[in-house]
Amino acid sequence: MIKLLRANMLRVVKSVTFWILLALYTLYPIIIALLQIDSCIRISSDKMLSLNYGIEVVPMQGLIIALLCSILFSVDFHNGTLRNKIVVGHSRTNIYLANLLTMMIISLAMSVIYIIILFALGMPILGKFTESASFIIWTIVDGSLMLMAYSSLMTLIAMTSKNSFVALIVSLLVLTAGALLAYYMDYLVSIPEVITVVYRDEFGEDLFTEMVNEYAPSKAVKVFCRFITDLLPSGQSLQISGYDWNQGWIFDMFIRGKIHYWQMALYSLGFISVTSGAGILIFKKSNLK
Amino acid sequence: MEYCLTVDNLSKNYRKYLALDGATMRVPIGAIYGFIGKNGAGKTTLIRVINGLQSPTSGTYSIYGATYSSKQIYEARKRMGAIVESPSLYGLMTAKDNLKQQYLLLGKPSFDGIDELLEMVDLKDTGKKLVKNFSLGMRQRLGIAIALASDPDFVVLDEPINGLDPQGIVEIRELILKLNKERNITFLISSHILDELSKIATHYGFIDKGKILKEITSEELFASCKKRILFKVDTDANLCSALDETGLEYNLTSQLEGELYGEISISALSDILKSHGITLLKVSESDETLESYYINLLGGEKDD
Repeated sequence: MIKLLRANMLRVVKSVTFWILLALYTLYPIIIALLQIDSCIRISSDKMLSLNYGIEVVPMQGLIIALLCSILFSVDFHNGTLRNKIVVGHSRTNIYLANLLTMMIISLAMSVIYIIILFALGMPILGKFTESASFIIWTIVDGSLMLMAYSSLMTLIAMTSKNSFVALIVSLLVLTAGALLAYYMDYLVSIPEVITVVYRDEFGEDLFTEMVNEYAPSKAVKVFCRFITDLLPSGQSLQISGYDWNQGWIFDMFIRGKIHYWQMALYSLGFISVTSGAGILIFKKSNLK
Repeated sequence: MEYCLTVDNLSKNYRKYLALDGATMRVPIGAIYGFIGKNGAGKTTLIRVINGLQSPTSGTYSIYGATYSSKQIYEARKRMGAIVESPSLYGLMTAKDNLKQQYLLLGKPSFDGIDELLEMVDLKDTGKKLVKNFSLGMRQRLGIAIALASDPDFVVLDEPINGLDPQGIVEIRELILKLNKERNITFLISSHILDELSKIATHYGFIDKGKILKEITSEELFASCKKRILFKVDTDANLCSALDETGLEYNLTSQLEGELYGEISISALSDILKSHGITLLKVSESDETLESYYINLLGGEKDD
């Protein structure tokens, strides 16, 4: 496994595409931070941290992971270089796990680079963290697990589709579908069960009354939608980044108190286990050329 | 005899298509095993299966005594190198970086030996040239270098001289012979170019429709390859009687032409024919080749 990991890492380091993607990714926080200098809108360091895993960044993270999976793993099928690993006695399970670990390490490394830049450059401009240590720790833990779940999903797609173009297209479709599904599920959860209705009486006075919102989903549907939002990496990133359908971007997440931090961590671990297990099973049974 | 590869009753189905149909073969240690069959006969499928790229539908195989389903097979595979179909290379890397990749996969402690390997396959001067810009011959040679990176005891080469120029073919042939003699590396080589294979192989396996038809050594092949005398006469009257008198097998290819299998002096043949009132107009000798042996084995079908 270590041999495979070392070989993968050499390929990553030698890949020009990787360095371009890394540069693009790390430029993001620098640009955001620099833009604050002349801006009247203040974004806190807390918000910038959550954006590392949040919906504004994750499409880019997901895209980078999908691109790298396609470059590193699908190319192995295309060039036949996967054969070199199997012929010299590496098991398919080890090959799959090494690829998965490689993607996890890359995505986490990118995230760490972002955090380092945020600390080094962002904090002097944006100010210190104002949130509690538990907020920061949970954001990093859930965010990191979410990135690993993305890596696991993209590895599954790359290792089972065997074609770099197909893998990339499928990955982008899955990313988009996942983001849309998460938005929709989160929207359904946010629909209030009781709404305030305003009407004007015969004397011209506005009267407020509360009534049941007939368009609100049932409690069971809401529980299900919430589960899906907590489970999907896209749903998790939506929550970590602090988006709320009624109030927009909320910076103080503990006040909102909606985020299922430990559940999301568990779901991510489950997501990684299931996608990796399925990937290994499919990869082990596939005929290679 | 000790074998590095034994294949027993191996079958491989792709849905309804039977690519291998109970194939059985033995590759002795130290041999250069020529694996011969026409397109679609099952050569590459068998090579893919023994390299672990595909699982057999039924039957079994073992490498250095380790059966394919056992855990020992991973250790046994470390003694192998292979090129399946085409060399497996990273096009955006140099020859040296490709070998470094292989060294890392093998867990070698250092990159020592890479320069020697590149020199052996005559690629030491490629410098920073990317593999995607290599000629077919250079790729093939680099593929062989990668297959040799693990210091293997057993190397499988699938059509290693396909697309090579005559000079390239000679170089690969000499390299294989050198490695076989100096390092005692066993080779399993599939090829369509039978003439070339006949120059190096010590053993042959013939495959058709997924079945191994025959396995013979080069000595056995030589012994079974009959001398052939091609002749032309002026009349067919009493020709069969005259040919029967030679005591050799024969085949008439036209009314006045035919082939005799075996050895007989030209004067003796001429005398027999003359005694039957026949004049010998033309005569030539020919050895049966690996190709004609193969075609005869297949019942006269030509290679695709």
